[in-house]
Amino acid sequence: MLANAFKDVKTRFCVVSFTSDWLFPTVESRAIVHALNATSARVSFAEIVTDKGHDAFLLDEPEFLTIVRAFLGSAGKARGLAGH
Amino acid sequence: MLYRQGNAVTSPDPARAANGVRVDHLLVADMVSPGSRVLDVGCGDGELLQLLERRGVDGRGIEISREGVNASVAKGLAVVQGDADTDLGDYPNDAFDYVVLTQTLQATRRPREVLEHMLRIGRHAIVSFPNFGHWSIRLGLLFGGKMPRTKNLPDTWYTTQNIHFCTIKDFRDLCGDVGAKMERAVAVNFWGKPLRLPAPWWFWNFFGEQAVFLLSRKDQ
Repeated sequence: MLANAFKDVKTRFCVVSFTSDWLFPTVESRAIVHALNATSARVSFAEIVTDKGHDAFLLDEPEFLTIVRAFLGSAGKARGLAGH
Repeated sequence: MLYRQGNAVTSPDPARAANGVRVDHLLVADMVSPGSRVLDVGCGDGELLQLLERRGVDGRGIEISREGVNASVAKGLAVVQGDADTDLGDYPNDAFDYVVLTQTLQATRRPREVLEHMLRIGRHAIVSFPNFGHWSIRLGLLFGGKMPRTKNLPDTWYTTQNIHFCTIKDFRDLCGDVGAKMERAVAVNFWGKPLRLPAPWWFWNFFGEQAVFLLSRKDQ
């Protein structure tokens, strides 16, 4: 079971999927999120609407960038790093 | 709970305190002990979770609308996209100290099952909901003869997401049916002020515009 792989994990997770990504579709990302939830890991999950397909994560997707920035910022804050 | 109307997301506008914070959020935050783990079901844009995290709470959220999830994650909150009716079953027993549901119970398809899951996943459940027994709603139906619409519940019967309205008395009965222990209950009046007087249930049910309940399992 996937959830066993994440048992007692202290890592903070952020899973992001793109609606037009056929290589890693949202349903698979959601399975990872379910497994993380089942172990009470700290996980954020967002799906970004885009027509740029699998490479969307390399391109300028403002919503995606906002989420990554906020996630890294809050993770840094939680680990005692100064503001970003 | 956010409501979809086309692509735009609007939310009903429950009463707010002078500092702009929703009255039911303040009441919920006061019921949660600092340092605890909280799951907010239907967390919208993460307003309550942000308030809780500022008070040292380890918060997680589920939200049905993509816009709400993305807004929450953009605030650095741990929120996932999910549906209260179908996805609570994925959470293990006793995973949280509190499971919170604000202004969402009446929009679920199976309120009883949702409440039972909340009491299974969390040691406590906190529920806030609009009271359909409020005098303005009773008078609206009595004299207007139409499904009541108020400032806080502005939708028509055919556009509203609120498919399972209840009164404070109805909710109290449901708590009995699912074997929940009522630890605290607060009603909030038309002007967003908590009714702090010890009052009989009929009074709360008539003058409470919304209510917040803190529940736990009977076996604890």
